[in-house]
Amino acid sequence: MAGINILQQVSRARNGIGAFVHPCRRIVITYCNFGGSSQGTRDFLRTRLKSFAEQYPHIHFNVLEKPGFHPVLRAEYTDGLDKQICVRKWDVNVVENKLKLLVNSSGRKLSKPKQLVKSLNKSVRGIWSPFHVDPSQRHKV
Amino acid sequence: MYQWSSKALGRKSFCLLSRRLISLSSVQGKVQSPKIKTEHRLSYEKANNTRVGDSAIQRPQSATDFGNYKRESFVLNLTEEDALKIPSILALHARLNLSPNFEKRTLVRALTSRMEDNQYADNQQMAIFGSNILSYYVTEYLLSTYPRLPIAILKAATEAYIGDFSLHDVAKNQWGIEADTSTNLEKYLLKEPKLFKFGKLRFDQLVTDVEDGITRFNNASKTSLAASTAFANSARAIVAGVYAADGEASAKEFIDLHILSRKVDISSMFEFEEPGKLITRLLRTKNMELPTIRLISETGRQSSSPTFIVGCFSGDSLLGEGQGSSLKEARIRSCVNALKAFYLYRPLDPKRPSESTFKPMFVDEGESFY
Amino acid sequence: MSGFTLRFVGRSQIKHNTSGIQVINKRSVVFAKGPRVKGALRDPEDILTVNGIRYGSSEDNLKPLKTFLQTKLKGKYELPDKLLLQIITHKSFAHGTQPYNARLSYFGKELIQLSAAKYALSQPTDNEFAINNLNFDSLGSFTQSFMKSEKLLKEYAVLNNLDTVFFRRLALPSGREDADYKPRSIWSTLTASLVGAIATQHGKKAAEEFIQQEIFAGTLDQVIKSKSTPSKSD
Repeated sequence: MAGINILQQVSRARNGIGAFVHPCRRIVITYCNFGGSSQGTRDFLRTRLKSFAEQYPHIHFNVLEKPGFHPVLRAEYTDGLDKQICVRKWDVNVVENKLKLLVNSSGRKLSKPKQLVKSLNKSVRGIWSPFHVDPSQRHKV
Repeated sequence: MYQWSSKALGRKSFCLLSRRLISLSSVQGKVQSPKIKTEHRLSYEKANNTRVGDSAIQRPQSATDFGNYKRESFVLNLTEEDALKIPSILALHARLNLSPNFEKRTLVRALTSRMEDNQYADNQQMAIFGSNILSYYVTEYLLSTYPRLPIAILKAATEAYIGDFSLHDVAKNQWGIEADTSTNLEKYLLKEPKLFKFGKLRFDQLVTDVEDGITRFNNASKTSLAASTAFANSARAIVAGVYAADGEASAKEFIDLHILSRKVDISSMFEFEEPGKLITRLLRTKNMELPTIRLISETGRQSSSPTFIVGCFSGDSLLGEGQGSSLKEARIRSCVNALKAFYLYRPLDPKRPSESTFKPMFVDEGESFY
Repeated sequence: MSGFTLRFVGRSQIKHNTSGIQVINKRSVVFAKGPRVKGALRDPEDILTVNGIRYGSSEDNLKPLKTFLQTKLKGKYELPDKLLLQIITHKSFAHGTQPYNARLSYFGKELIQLSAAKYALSQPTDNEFAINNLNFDSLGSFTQSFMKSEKLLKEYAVLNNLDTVFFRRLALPSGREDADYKPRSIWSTLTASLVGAIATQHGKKAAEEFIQQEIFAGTLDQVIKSKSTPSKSD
């Protein structure tokens, strides 16, 4: 319409309002088949990986042998971020806990929120409309 | 002075050079540039009206016998057993919480764009259907929620929900679909099974990042797509897949959950030129009293930081309030707020025509020109 | 077509005659009685009349559409008078000052587009690339795109005489004013807004039934067969 211009927008994600899509997309576990620092990781792969992966069907688990390196857990998230944790010398329980930490993360860096409420909305009151006010209560001048 | 002259000289030499280039090209013959059609300004409209060339379709005797149409290029069909071997497809299926009726190979097809030298079924026509169903449900939602939006804003808001850039964000950053950008050599070196490429979004790329800092603009073929369009088409195709697997009600729910739940701030899509004039015209067409701006409260008029609150009134009724550090600013804000209060009118408890508890919708009269 | 208005800058009230046209100058707007002048605004009374029919929700104006809805659909989808008048008013009528059908037809077109796609999928198929027995291969083809085209919608409106009373601007693009010239961008809004109005008042299901039975089952084949001899109005 004449006199009204458009400021084009692109919709922004609000994960969890509506559908919740789990942010963790893929986990790559690298280990060495010989080194002592990979002992716990190897134990995890041998005994617990299958049951662990079955709990998270939305995550693609990838196991890579990387001889001569310390074991590393790397998680990739849907918005393109990733996180890595080196699990050298850690035993099987710690490896599992670190994996849980990666699974439950959103991929973003940890930060302390400055406000109690974080919102995309400008104001909770919204746009004022004269038609929702009872006529007897309307402003008279 | 010296700088000036050297600049002028440089420009002159450039002109000479370009003229020479033009004369050369005219000798060699005209270079054919691809024709760019600009029929549809908005990408969702473009996706709705995509035409598959008639040479690509085998048409049956009767043109309306849609069941017997067949795409020429579809030769190979990935089996469901093969599709079940692709981990990223299984993960995506689980991530989107798709029903067991939604076959894994349909998901593979949704991630396959129309490409040159591709014999597998592609997502082009699924994307057309997905775009149609998306644009209907988004329009229906917007029209019943904001019945007075001007049509241009309505279309822009629809674009904000289901345009290429939004659906690109949905497919890539929300659903975690990956594009297949690695070369055959890289795949060979990684010892990646051949099936795994079907788990990624494949398309003829218009632009490729060759290495850091270098971008290559490929020669545009008929099938090459911008990354945003390719990702958006995969999202549209997945919506079409939900329709095919579970019917329209599920598709609608899927759209509600994944697309309409996203944030679009419609009130900030308006930019009014001369809001005072617009509200005057609006009130005149609605046969209401013309607007008067009245000061409601003020503080610190003589100070360095005064604040005024004014109201835009039609007769006795307050249409909008505006606040500002000058009377003019406050007046303009009050007119803008009054206009927004009109255009962003929301019925209490709006019902959409596709709902079972539907009741007749509020229909606006349309924007008068003056 | 007896009057038109010219905008002049001037404050005084002047009456004078120039080349047989009586000119009354009121404030800054001039009403002139006489033959039409291209580019000039017409008399406010004059612009509300099309082919001798005065705009308004009178019984005569709404009768054609009302009887159509009663006979064709067994009176199932009756619409309020206000909406009927809005359906038969195009945006171009009276400079858009009256309630017009743009939003209804926009909504109707979206629904027709979806119905056309669903219709194509619903046909029985034995294509091996069909998903859950739905064959997507016809989408985007010429005929399937034709099902949602303005041309088909216009043909439906003309065949069913929905345009008996139709308020739109008379001076059509390219200056033609003959009775056969019916631009599809304007005439298609009749059908589309009728569908849109049914959807807003009776729900999506009812509107889809209307599209299926009326447009796709009735008109589509008729129009496709006669496509070799298209009407000259396009």
